[in-house]
Formats: sequence, structure tokens, C-alpha cells
Amino acid sequence: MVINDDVTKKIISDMKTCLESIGLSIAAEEEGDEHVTLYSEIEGNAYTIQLQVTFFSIVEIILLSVTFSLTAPQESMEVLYELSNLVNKLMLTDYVTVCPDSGEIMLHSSIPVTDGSLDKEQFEVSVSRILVNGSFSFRLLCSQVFSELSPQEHFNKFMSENKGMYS
Amino acid sequence: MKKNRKSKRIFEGMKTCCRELVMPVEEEFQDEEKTGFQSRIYANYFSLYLQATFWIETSTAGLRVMFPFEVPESKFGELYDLFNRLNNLRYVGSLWLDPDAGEISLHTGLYVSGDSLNMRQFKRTLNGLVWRACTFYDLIIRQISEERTAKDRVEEFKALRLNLDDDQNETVTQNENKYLH
Repeated sequence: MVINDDVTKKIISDMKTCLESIGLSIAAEEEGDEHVTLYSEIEGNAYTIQLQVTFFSIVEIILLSVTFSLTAPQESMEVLYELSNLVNKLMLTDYVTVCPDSGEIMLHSSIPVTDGSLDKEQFEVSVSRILVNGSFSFRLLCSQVFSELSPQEHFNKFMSENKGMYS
Repeated sequence: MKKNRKSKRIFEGMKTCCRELVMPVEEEFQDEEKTGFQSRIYANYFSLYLQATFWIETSTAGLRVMFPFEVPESKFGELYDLFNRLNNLRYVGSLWLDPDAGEISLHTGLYVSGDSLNMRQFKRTLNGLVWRACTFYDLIIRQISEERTAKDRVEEFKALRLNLDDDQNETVTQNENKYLH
């Protein structure tokens, strides 16, 4: 193990326990000089959601990200950028991005670690939140690809049909 | 009643953090959903508005920096592209444009566990957000005023950062690390 200080070990161990307690299994683990990443996967009906949790020991931050196995076509990028902007206006702790090259749709958030320990409640809520917001955002962005409506019209229609979904 | 006490304590904690970081608390606001205040960030040659809000129902402390730019509608598309690319770099907060008001913001939020605010965590987040807003200030203003693709602008920004790292510019790198998140 490259990172072997006790504080980091405890944080990684606590993150694993928290993920398992909310029903997520660890599919893979990756270690670098200054970070450890845990991967978990959730199988949906038509796509897979990958959750990535990375702890950077030097800057003491946890980065969370959710990636979907379906990608957006290049010709939809402009409308998806505009739609992502509307979603990001609404969400506080998470934000959505579309990778300009690969078309991957992702959600990100971060948790600063202070006092050398993991705030378990905060971590569990943040993970649950990014998964719910991610799933919702993915449905919204995917349906835009096949829609004739403008991003604003599509967003308004989607939100009126799914009231109170974002947190 | 318990919720009210909690939100008041967190609200006071947020105000203390801002004062300690020399951001004066100006206007306070409160309703059933939220409690918060507006503050001002003074940089070298510009000032930015800061809004700190505690959302009671979701127990989330939100921080929003507002840029004093008027954005013409003809630039909206370029800015959506720019913001998506900058957000993809995964610094603290996300940039967005309010298409109705033509206003640009950078915001982030933290779930508050327990009954009180983790002030070290909040101050670190606030520091990171302010640092990032100051970094993005020129990039955004140039995107509004110059003819250049968002892609080229972000590539140049990334290259500049990499060069700084390659040169082992400790002052810049350490300073950024301190504020980055």
C-alpha cells in the first residue's frame, strides 16, 4: 500500500463501511501516490452507473463522481451544455458535466476532510444525494437528445412532471 | 422549534466564518425555507457579491459568488460551453448562467450533519470558492469580450497550469493547493 498512514487508512476504511451500509459494494480499488479510489457499480435497466470515490490525502478532500455507461452524441453537445447549465443552477452540492470529447455524462461533488476524520453522516448523505441527482439528471439529459424542444422548454416540462426531485 | 434553533446556530457560524475571512456581512434574509446573508468580496481591482444560505429542509449550507457582468444573449452559447469545460476540471463549485437575468454565478454546497456547522470545513470551502472565482474572473470577461472558442481558452488555461507545475513553482502550487478545495 502506497498510502500507509493511519489517518488515511481509517478514512478509507470508514468510507468502505459507509458505502456498504447504504447497500453499495466495492467493485474495485485503486491506489496512487497521493490518492485512493473506490469504485462501485449499479446496474440499471438500460445502463450502468459507476460511482467513483477518491480520497486525496495531500489536500484532504474526497471527490465523488457518477458516470453513466451511455454517452451523448457529438451533435447534441450544444443543447446538452445549455441544459446542464439549467440543472447546475438548481443543484447545490452536485453538478453535472458532459465530457466534450467522449460525450460521457457525469455528476461531481466534493467533501473537504477536516480534523483527520470522516464525517460519516455527511459522507453517506452526499453519496446518496449524488446517486439520486445523477439518475435524475441522466434521464433529463438523455431525453433531451431525442427531443424537438429547446433545452429550456424540455427542462420546464421535465421539472413539472417530476416535482421536488432535486436536493 | 428544534429546527429553528439549529438553523440559527448554523447561520451564526456562517457569519463568523465570513467575518474571520474579512468578508463583511451586509444584508440578512430569512423565510420558512432558508436563512442567510449577503456579503462582499474585495479583490485587487474588482468586487464580487457573496450569498451564504442555509437551506433548512435539506440541511445544506450553500455559498454563491455572483459576478458583476452583464452578458449579451449572443454570448450565452459560448458561455455554456466555457462553463461546462471549466466545471469538467473539477475545481470547487460549479459555474452557471441565469439566462433570464443574464447573471453569472459560481456556487457550491455542503450537507451539514449534526446540530452545528463544521467551521473549518466551511471556511475551507469558502476560501476555495473565492480563490476559484477570482481565477475565473478574467477568463469569463475575456470570453464575453473576445472572439475565441471556449475550447481554445480552456486548453490555454490548462497548459498554463501544467507549466506552472512543471516549473515546480512552489509558491503558486502551494498557494493553489491551500485554496483549491
